[in-house]
Amino acid sequence: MTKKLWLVSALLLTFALFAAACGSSDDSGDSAGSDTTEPTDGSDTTAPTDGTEPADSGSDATVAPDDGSVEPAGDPEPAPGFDGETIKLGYLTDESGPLAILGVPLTTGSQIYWDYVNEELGGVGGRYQVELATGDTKDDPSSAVQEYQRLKDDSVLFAQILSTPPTQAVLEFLKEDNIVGVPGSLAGTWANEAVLMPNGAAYEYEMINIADWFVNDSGLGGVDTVQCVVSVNDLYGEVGLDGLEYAAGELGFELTEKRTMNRNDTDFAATVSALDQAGCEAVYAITVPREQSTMMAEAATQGFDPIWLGALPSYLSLLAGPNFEKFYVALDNPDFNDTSVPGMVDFLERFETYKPDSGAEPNSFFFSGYYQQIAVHALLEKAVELGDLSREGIANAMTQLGEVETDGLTAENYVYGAPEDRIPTSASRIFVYDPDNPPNLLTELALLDSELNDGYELGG
Amino acid sequence: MDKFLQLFVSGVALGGIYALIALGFVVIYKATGTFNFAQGGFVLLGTYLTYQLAVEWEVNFYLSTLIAVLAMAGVAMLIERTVLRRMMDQPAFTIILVTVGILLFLQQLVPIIWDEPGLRFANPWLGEVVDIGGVSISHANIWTVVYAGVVFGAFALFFKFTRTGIGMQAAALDQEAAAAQGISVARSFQVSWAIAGAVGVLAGVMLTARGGDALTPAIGFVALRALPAMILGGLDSPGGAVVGGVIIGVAEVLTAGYLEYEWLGANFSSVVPYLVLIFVLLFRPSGLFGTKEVERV
Amino acid sequence: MTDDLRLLRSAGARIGAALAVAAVVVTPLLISSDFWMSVFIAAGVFALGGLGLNLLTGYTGQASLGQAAFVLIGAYTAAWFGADKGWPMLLWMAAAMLAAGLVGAAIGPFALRFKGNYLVVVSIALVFVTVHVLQNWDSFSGGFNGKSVGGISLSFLVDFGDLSIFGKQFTPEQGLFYLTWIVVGLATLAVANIIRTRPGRALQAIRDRDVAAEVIGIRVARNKVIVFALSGAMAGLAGGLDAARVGFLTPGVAESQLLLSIRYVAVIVVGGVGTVVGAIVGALFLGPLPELVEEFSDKINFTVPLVDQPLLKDSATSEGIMSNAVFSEILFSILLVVFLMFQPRGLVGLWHRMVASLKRRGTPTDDAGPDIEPVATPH
Repeated sequence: MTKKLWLVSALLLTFALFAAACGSSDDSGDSAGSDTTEPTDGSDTTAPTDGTEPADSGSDATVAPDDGSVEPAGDPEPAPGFDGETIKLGYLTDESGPLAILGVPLTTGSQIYWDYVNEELGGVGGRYQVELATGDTKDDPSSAVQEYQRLKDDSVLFAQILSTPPTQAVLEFLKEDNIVGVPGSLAGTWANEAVLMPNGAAYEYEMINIADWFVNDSGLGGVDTVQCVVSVNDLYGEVGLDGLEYAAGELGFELTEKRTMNRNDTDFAATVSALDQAGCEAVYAITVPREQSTMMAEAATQGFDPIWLGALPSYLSLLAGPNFEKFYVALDNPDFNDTSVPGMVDFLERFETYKPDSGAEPNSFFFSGYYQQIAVHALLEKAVELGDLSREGIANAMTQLGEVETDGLTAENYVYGAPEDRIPTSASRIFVYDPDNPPNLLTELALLDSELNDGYELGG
Repeated sequence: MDKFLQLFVSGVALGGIYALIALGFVVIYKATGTFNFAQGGFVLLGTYLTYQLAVEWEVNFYLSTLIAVLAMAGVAMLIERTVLRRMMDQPAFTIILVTVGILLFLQQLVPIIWDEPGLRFANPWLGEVVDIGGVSISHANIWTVVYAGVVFGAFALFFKFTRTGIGMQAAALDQEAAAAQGISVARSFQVSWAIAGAVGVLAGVMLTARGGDALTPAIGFVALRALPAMILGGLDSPGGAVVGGVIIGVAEVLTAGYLEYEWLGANFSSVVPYLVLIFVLLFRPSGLFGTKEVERV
Repeated sequence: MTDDLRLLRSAGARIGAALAVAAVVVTPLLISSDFWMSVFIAAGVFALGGLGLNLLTGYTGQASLGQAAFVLIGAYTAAWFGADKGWPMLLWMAAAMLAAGLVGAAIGPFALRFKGNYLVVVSIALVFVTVHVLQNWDSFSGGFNGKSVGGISLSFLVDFGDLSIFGKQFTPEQGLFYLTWIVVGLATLAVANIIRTRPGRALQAIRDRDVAAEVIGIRVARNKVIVFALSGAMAGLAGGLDAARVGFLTPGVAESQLLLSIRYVAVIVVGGVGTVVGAIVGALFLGPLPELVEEFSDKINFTVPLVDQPLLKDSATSEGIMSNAVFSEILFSILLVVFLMFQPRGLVGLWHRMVASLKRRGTPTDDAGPDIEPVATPH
């Protein structure tokens, strides 16, 4: 008897709730999403803006001047992540995982850029303040997807998705929801994805450039130099190695010893010993900073003293020491003390004004986080101009964006558009370690765009 | 041959670090009969503390290490007093899990106190190398081995000649009997934890010195790689921990240097400690130098 | 039929089960947010893996920090058969369970030789080796670069990826929610059935004294191997469902997988070691914790008096003591330690105690819930 009672009541309850819910469930999602609104704080950031230089505001326009052919549209309608006044941007970054060493300063750099936009330009289009919402992926696809779901209904786009596994994980969701995302890495691999907006030079081009430079221009070596490579076991290491191997083939040298390493490796005795035994005179480092430091220390121990030729992620000024003397690196950004680059002068000034209280020094990672937002800013300006901040509106704005001016912050300007119209940047600057040139401890030696880049197919 | 010697020396130095961490494991195992996963937390927190003193506050490097050693001994004693003391009669796995919880807690203190996700912790030995018979050895590696040796020696003397040490040996064998002899079991627990905290600092500092001075929270995980060293040597044998550490360190480095088969995969050496461990355990379940356990019905 | 119902001994348990079923049916109807669905799917995955672990650790007393390895094996097997080969759902599920179950069975014999502390280390070794294999077995796992699980089939009788009932269209997340929790429900029934029958009592005898269990005629070796296989299979299925949720797999690093294992253990500790529903309760409590902290950070936040700073970091100003992630990790570690110290029987134990004290005030009864023993790991 009780059995029956139990079964029947369960069924009744279930169906009653089912019926009740069916009628009201359609709009409940949106209200759940808007709960997440955080208090706007843009206006009370009492940063000392030096309003004494109105002339400066001209060169501040880092956004590409539009063609003037488009008629200004009406005000954009509210859309996910845009309530009519404030634009919200999602950031999927690593705040507590293995890449926090990159993720934290990248977000800080981005925040500095938007503080500047909010404070000095009055926001996007001069009227829409921008807010950042970050999600911690811990560099793990599972957390990344969850954080993506949390932020997506409250972000007009994802202005930073750090590291490859999270990008790969959320890519399908981005496509499905038609949301634009900015991958924080691997510009080459993502150039062909319509919803992704890569930034800066691809690692493939960086490696081609530094190899070309080393063999032909540096005066440090030539095709006869014994050249070797250490790459990290992930997609970044793989594509960097692919570019390097292509360059080696074209330039006519062999990679005598090829080693790989894992993140979190603590012992490089065997790696260094193998490179030493192979007689390597120059070693390409497609690595990550902490492990690179460890490897350099081990090299010093074994008296192995080659020329190191690194990709951007292999170097972090914070972890570079006296044993980095023969360390060269291919970067996108100019010398931090190069006052001839207007964008760099702006960056340092804005860094000073809006940096966090912790008293950080500018470095490449802050810088990357900052300059990556220039393209996002241009995209948002375009969307506002077209009067549509919805997902479709932004995707549409991307196809019409064209070249984004960075005021010299990148070695070359990226031309955006539909995937087939994009012209990725391929130039790099080559730097050498220089302890006397703070804050980034690097001095620029060359700016080049290897001719070999034209023959290399990205993502191939 | 040069290559072999070079790798061997490097392996011994790596083993020295494993040994230092394993000694921390062993001393607590001797007292309580369980693993202390919080050891990784001692390594991590102790190293950051040393960094704070030596780099931020510009205290002499060796003095900083000493202060951090004492401080971490204190922290470890505090943890023992507030948490573990109450857990003495619990099953082993419960205590293991408590120490895991403490590890997770200690790991989170680092990003709270030290905002920067990466730091540079300059040590006095960077780049200093001696050449002995064609093998170059860094000063950092020599210091690692010296530290491991000194700590091991101090252990041996402490357990043999001091009242507390002898008491701890007795308590490890039979808590009730020891208590009946007037030996304070609680006190021997406390001393064990203090020692574990102290050696953790040395291990972390040496690990960072070896890592080109790059200090990131990831060093807390290295303690996990010392677990095989501890078990290999025998859970309750300090000497075993040293031998086990060196075996694991050398095995790891030599595999990385010589074993290059595609099908073994990149970085095969990182799982070598665990494979060595399982292999040894299958034949000698109590490790190389450990006490045999007798199962009571 | 009568057997199934005998699972639920008291009226309270029956009401509880009915409410649980109703909750599963109704939740997606009330919540359409993909985010919350995803959070509850993840909780279901934790519950499923936790159920398996509870069988192993809670009922049989085998200490393990290896559950993440089985989850990984299940996830990759599901991706290989479900996404790459396009097998139907039931088949890839079976494959995921079989693969993880077989690895579990292979670990079983180690448990005969190693106990307690040693077994913990063997299980850690399993995590290291599994991650290493997945990092390097490119043709199966995609290696370090990972593997897409796109296009995996979620249909059996109905298509859970494109669910439509009575004209109501559900999102893929809602469909997967139903699928996951149906599986959790079935697994709960299975575990409950094992526990209250003869094999279950044999497992508990092994936990309490395995030499003695042997003496009274329980085949300890066989039972241990079986329970390792079962526990692995359930974790494998959990991995398969999680793969469907995330859509992309990477092996990660061994250390992070070990942290995942610890999470599974924490789920049963907080929920209730050695209780059938403990894993579900624990998963619902701990699983969504980090996401709840992220979501409600501005409501949790307050100014800490002494340092005069907000507790949680504002991502805009970087001002504050700790990030949301650090806060939830601290909360998690404190919960783990506090439960182990003061409430080793978990939330389920707490509930039983409350019910018992309420009943004592009313009519006296001896129904204080199942007999729960703390995990014993005999040396």
